[in-house]
Amino acid sequence: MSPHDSGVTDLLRRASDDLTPDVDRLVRGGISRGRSRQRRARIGTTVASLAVIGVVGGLAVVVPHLGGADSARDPGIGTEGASATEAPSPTPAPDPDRAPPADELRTLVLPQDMSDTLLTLTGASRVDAVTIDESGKDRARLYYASVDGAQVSFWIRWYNNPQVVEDGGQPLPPSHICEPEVEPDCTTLPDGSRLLREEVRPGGGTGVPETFLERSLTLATYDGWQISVIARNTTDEKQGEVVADEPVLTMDEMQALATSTAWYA
Amino acid sequence: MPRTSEEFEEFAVARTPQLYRAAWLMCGEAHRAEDLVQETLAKVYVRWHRRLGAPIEHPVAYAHTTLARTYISAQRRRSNHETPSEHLPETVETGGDAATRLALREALDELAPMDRAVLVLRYLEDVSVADTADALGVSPGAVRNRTIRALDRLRAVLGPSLRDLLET
Repeated sequence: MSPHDSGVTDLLRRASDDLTPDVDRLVRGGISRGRSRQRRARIGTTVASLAVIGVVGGLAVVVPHLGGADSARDPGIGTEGASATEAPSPTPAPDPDRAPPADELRTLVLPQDMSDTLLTLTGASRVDAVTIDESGKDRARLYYASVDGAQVSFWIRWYNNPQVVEDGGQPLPPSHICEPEVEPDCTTLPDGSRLLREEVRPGGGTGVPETFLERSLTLATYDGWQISVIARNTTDEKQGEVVADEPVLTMDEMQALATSTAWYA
Repeated sequence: MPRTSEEFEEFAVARTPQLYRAAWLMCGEAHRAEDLVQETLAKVYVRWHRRLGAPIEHPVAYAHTTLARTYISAQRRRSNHETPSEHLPETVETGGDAATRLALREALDELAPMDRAVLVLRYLEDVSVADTADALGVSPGAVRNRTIRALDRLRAVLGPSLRDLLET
């Protein structure tokens, strides 16, 4: 290590040595989360099986959450999810560790069409397009939907765009978003897409009340799209008012939304 | 045979300060750092108690690799769709190396998440280039390039104060 290298080491250590974390609280929190993950893992086999069954062929799991008398959500949200994996995949090898080449990337529908579809599928009262990247880089689109008065964010971007590689990274496979070995909520879909389902937890952040909850789901599709859906029980992210006891979309609804084929032209 | 809960707690208590230091340097603020540490401990906890498979061979290295991967993974998942917010006054920075910390935090904020992780692993944790590459899922060449780029960026941002910080 050169003198300059050791100087950087000293600098990093000096800048962080006198930080005083609440070790007991962090350890308790880590153990609590770990136990929660263990519990979910134990019942996760059943849940994951049901989820796959629900996605592949059945509406039995999904529909009850969608078609209730008090729900304005389009039942198509479930059937779209089902069709996502029923349709034959253009990639014959469903390998989540395979980085998809750019020419396999499906084309998205127009931004306004995506917004309209989101409105229909979620039964939202309004949908706002926050980010629409037309530069061709990662083609990110971010929408905020107001569902039963609470915010649902829907974000899609190309996770494996050429800039990733130009920036020194390796081409990313779907498996880059999570590892089933360490995250029980991480699963691989039959088409090779990788899915991470993160159940309800506090939104977190400085001064954010514990009653601000969110449920999130991230999907890395087999062809290179990453879709993140976050449902909240509040009118806004980390601020606003609590309008429901729980985030306004169930995990199954969010999965059906993320795996819908309606986003692709 | 899996290790016991008592052993995990002992391990976690011993390692959390260092994990937190690394997390703070990666995240740049206390609340995200705390969240990152707890996520890391949770993942190690699950792996620690797994009944099938061999126990973790090098728990310290495993925990720090998990921390870095969790950080990068979270950045990839969430960074582009969270509303940016300024650094909030999480704690009162007083005395000691508070000035160093503030200057370094501002400089680190200029780096890409992957570059921050590389710097922390390489220089705080003293992890080799090969192991850093393995932990972050990039090539050794990319680690070297990112190290050079990150150090250049630190010099550019800190300017003459870098020398002062290194000498004081």
